[in-house]
Amino acid sequence: MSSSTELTEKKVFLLKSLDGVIFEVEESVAVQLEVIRELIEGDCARPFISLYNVTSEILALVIEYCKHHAETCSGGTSATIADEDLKTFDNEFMNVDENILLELCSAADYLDIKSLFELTCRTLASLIKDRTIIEVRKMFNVENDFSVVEEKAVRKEFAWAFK
Amino acid sequence: MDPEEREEKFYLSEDIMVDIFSRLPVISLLRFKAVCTQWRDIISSPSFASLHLKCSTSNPTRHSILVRTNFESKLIPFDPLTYSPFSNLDIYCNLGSFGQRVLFVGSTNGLLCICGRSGKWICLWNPSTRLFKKIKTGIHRRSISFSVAFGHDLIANDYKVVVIHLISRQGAMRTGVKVWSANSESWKEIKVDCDFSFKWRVCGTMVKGFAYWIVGNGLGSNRKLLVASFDMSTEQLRLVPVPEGYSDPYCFYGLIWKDKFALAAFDGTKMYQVWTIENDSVGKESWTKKFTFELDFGFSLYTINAGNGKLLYNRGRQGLVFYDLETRKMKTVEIRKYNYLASGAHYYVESLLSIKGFQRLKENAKKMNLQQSHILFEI
Repeated sequence: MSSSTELTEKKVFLLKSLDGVIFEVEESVAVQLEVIRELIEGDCARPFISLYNVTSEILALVIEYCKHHAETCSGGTSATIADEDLKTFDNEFMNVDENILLELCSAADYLDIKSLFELTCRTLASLIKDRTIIEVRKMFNVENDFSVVEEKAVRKEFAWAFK
Repeated sequence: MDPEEREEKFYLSEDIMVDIFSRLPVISLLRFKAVCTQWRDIISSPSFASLHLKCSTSNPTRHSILVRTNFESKLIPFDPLTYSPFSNLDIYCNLGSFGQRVLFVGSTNGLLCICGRSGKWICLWNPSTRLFKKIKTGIHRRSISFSVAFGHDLIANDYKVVVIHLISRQGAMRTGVKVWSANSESWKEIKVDCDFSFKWRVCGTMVKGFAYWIVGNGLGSNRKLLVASFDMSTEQLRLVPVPEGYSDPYCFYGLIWKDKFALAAFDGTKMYQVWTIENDSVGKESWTKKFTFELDFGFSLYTINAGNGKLLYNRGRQGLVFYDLETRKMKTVEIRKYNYLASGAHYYVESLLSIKGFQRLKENAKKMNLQQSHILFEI
């Protein structure tokens, strides 16, 4: 009896965010974070894993994403329905503030979650593709470090690309 | 994170920016060169151009088929997935800027090759960055005819133009072959073992660093049909006879099937037999019959090899027909203008690639008016 309950008992891991919040996640979620995979597999994940580059706000979102992906993929639904479901979820999930999106992208890179990194990069690319220079400078917090002469030259080179 | 902390500036690393950039269309990248020096340096680097090309090539939604039309000498981009005209591709499509009568030779890695009708000049051109370079072919005045191919030497990462030409010398026809390399910016003569003649001024089949022509050797009953292939890397020209037993009345056409050169033999009815070369060692080449297919319309002057196993056929008033050799599916695109005729088609993928000596097209060159493609086609 006891052995069967042990078998069904799910392994959980504790993830600690930059600002000290601890999240409890199941193994199916934790393994999606490639960066901690070795720790998990080597059983070095006790008592908790510190994720120094991710805030609790972003980590909560990342866990939500991984949880949904883990559940959908193991839910026993047909592949096409699961695909559709994930697509809808991903679209909804990307419907966040742009600053959050940038942090999610950076977190996905750091935590090495390929599908989320791909999704955020793709979303950011389609968001910025028609934007002006001033808009993207603001969005990505980039300073204009051109001299007046340099900027004029670089704008003149492909003047038609500026609508 | 509380709002005050969020005020602290958040940056994405350069690696992440590169990943995002690799998904952007060329027009956005050219604009973003003016954001800051770091962005300019990333976007201008040849390694980024290669990465961007790789991403575009591996993503079928970023491919298009450029169809050369006689309507104002325009290139019209079609979506190879739906065969409808692309409306969101920012490329400069006006062939008229290069001269009144030009031939659309080929397209590889975002670079197009066009050629003047006289064969005296060739132009390499990136329609996304609107940079180009004109090259004189130096074809001899006594040249009777010529045929041009354009391709990528994958080993040296070089772009090459091959010109085959026929010269009349003391009453006899001589075949000359010369190749131009973008890296060396010069022409080189290629040794030809026997003289041969050819039909078209543009090589119909260019695939993965090779150009193929169907050529004839000898006269009258001695005339033999051969496939001439030019290897862009080794710069060797090879002649292989067409499969035995298929002389007149068969006609031969070069196709691209599953990224390979394929030979289609047409018996004058509706049936085509498609062959590929299986044994590829020199002198031992052997043909294997792969499949047959049937077309309601025969091959004609107006059948165009659009690459990647797709054919394009002008049906006059009925429109343009795309035919996919692999799926055997056909799609007719209706045309409203009757005087429209397609005379060339090539796969295209946007890139930032440049060639030594590229210069800007004049500033007054207007972007293609996309409304025009809507006038031409029922969408």
